[in-house]
Amino acid sequence: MLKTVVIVDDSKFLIRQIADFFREYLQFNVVAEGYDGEQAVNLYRQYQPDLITLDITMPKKDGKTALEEILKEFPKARVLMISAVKGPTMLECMSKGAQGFIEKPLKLTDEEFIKDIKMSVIEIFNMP
Amino acid sequence: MTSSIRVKLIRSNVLIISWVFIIVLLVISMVSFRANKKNLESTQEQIRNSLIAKGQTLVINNSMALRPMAGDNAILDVRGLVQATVEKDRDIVYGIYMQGNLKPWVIAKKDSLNIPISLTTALADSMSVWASMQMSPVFRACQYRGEEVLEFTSPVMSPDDGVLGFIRYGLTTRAMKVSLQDAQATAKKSLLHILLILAAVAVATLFAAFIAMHRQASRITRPIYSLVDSAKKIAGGDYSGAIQVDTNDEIGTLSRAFETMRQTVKNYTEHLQDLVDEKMQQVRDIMNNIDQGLFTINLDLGINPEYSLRANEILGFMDITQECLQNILRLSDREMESMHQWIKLIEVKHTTMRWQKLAMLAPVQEIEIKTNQQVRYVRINYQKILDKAGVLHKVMILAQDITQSRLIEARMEEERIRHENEVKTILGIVGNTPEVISDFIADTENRLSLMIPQIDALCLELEQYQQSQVDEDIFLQSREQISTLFRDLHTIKGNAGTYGFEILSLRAHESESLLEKLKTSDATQRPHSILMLQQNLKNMLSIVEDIKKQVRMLAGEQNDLVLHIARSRIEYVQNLCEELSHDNKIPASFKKLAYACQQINYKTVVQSTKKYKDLVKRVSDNLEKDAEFELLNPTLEIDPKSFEDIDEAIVHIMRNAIDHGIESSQERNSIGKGPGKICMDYQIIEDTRKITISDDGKGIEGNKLVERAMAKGILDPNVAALMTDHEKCQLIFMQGLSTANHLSTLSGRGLGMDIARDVITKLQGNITVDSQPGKGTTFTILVPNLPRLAMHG
Repeated sequence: MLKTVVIVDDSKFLIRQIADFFREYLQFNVVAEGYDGEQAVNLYRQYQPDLITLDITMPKKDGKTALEEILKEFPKARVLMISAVKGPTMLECMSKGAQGFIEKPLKLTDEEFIKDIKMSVIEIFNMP
Repeated sequence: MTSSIRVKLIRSNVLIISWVFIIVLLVISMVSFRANKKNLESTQEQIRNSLIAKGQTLVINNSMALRPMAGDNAILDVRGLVQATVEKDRDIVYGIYMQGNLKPWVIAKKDSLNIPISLTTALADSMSVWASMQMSPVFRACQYRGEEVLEFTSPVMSPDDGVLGFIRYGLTTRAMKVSLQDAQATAKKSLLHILLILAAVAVATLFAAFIAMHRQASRITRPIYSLVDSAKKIAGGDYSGAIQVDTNDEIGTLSRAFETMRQTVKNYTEHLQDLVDEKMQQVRDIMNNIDQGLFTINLDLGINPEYSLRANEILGFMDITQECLQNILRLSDREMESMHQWIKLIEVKHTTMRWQKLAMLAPVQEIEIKTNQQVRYVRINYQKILDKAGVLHKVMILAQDITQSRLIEARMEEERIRHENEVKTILGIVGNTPEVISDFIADTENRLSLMIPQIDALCLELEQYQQSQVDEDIFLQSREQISTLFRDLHTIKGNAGTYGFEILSLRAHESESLLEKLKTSDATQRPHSILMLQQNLKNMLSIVEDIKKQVRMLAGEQNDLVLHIARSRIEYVQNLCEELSHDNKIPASFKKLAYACQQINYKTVVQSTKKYKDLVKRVSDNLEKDAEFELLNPTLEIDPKSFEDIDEAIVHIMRNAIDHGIESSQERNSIGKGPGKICMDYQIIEDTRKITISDDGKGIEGNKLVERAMAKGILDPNVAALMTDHEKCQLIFMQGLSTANHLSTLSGRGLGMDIARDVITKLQGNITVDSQPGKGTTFTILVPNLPRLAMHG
């Protein structure tokens, strides 16, 4: 059984890139894609995937709020933040319960960067 | 050493074969020796028996033959018989006939047949005594002259069985021994022969065995050697090469076991490498920072007593342990909050997440420390410190002064920009005529040299103003002055942009923004802004200096010569002519000459307006628009100074026409307009120059201008209601009424038209605009003609 992932980002282009990466490099089953925070919460509720990736700056509901709502309803949800937002906001998301973070821009041709994503996903699934 | 297995194998095998051969040889020799011995013994027996048989037959025959002779006492006959017998047979060494009383009749010896022996004396030797006692033929061995002799004796009987005497013969065993010796020699010889052959076979076998062994040994040892090679590599720390021995014997098994071991070790060492790298990184961080700032904090952000002295120096404290973290790292309250949050996070996550990632989340990564006039950059790194139970109990903070590398980076960036600018400057110089560039430089320098003292004065004023602590805003008073400065900057910006001197244009743009800040922002920002402005203007002056250098480099000194010397001389001559022309006494021909001299440097309008043609091309290229420059009366010859005083106005009008008048290529194509046109006409009507500049763009929307003017509060709605379309268009000359939606380096601050009007007004001229929406705009400039008499004449 492949692990399932829902990808949420307000850029369709980035969603495609992230989805391709999860399929090709990590052998995940990308079950759904969302473009804002509201969709993120709904999609999580609908699919209850093994992992959800969240952008922070998104229309309707930002990633931080979506994260809080998802964790409130599903305390065991695994969330990977993928955002260009740095500094205190990312720290807050991690403190609130996101298990990993990736900083944009996505340098998907950079080996170090690829290794970082892989390690982050491994870490998320190794956490108690 | 590597050959020892092979050598050992060969040596031991050869040794075994040698030993086998030696033993075989020994056995063969022994067996053959024994056989020989037996053979010889039986031969000896045979010879002896035949000798005995011979001796016995001899004495029996003799005793028979002698009987009559002895009975008749025929001594001589006896003697003759015995002597003949001895002589005849080479085995017989002596023959004796003696009477029963032991008195010999004959003693014949081989070598002394004729030696007479006393026949009267009885023989008394033991052999004779023994012989005299025999009653039948017998034999006995004895020594005679040093060799073994068999003596055969037989009594010679009378017919009545009385003993007449004894016949005795001594037969030597010599012949027997000689033949025995011969047999022995032959046997030895044949044994030697066999041994020699065997030895030769042994040598040949050994040689063949050696070669075979050598091959076999090589074949056996080859995989061992490759294994040894692999082992050596592994011993040397190289675990990459796979071991390939494809034999299915013990070596194959060993190799496979070895390969498994190699892979295990390889995996282990690779993992080990990661571990070592990680540890090394930590150690390196520490080592790098021993000389630099290092201190540790507790999880409650308290500073621990252990720290490196450099930390004080780098972070700028006498003793950092006396400070709190917030001060040390220059954290804002919010960052301090984040720091607490971060510590909480790492306490939970440090076992499951890479430290490198966690460290990225720390609220401060780099700090800027400002000390009097100096800025230092300090990079902050974090390392976790675990206690023996693996629980996080401290965080090490490493502060590294990276000012040097920052400065180097900044210098490199500066260098890069400078280089880029140089290239652009050169392109600007090359792309324009020397006259145009020269004019531009002179104009810009002039404007800058007027601006700098004003700014310096403003700066001083500001200082005094601050000292006096009067709350009044002096910049309200100097608004007019600032507007002038603004215009100058705007012109420089536009010109520089037009000629491709981007950096200069950028600096002018920055200066504009700074000036704006001076006007609008709060008083606390002003000292900073004005200092920056001062700096910026000086910077611009040096950029102009650079451009001049480049011009000289590209054009040589020739450029200056043509411009300065030729022009002033011509003006001088022209002035003389001018004076001369007023003198009525001189002949008409002289007047003609004077008139010709005055017009000596006249150029056609085409020549004089080349600058504007270039400008249209450059500006339209810059804006990615399609516009052409057109002249209505190109061949008219005019004073080259005709445009000098109104140049600024023309440039602003043209730039404005292309930027705001001419539509984009797409738009024009869609409404079937084709390439845009900027049309210029120059006429002299009596004492007035009339210049019209028209474009076939979208025209001016008078109502939009009215809206803006009202919004800005510079137009009374009541007045606006009464305005004609023509009047509404004239609003374009009011300051700050740009209708452009964006600011560009060319125009957009709503100043260009204001400047144009200003220039014309100062020359006692008049500027008007007519526009038909959708069809185009025409500016008409009327200015007095150039003075007939030069001022300095």
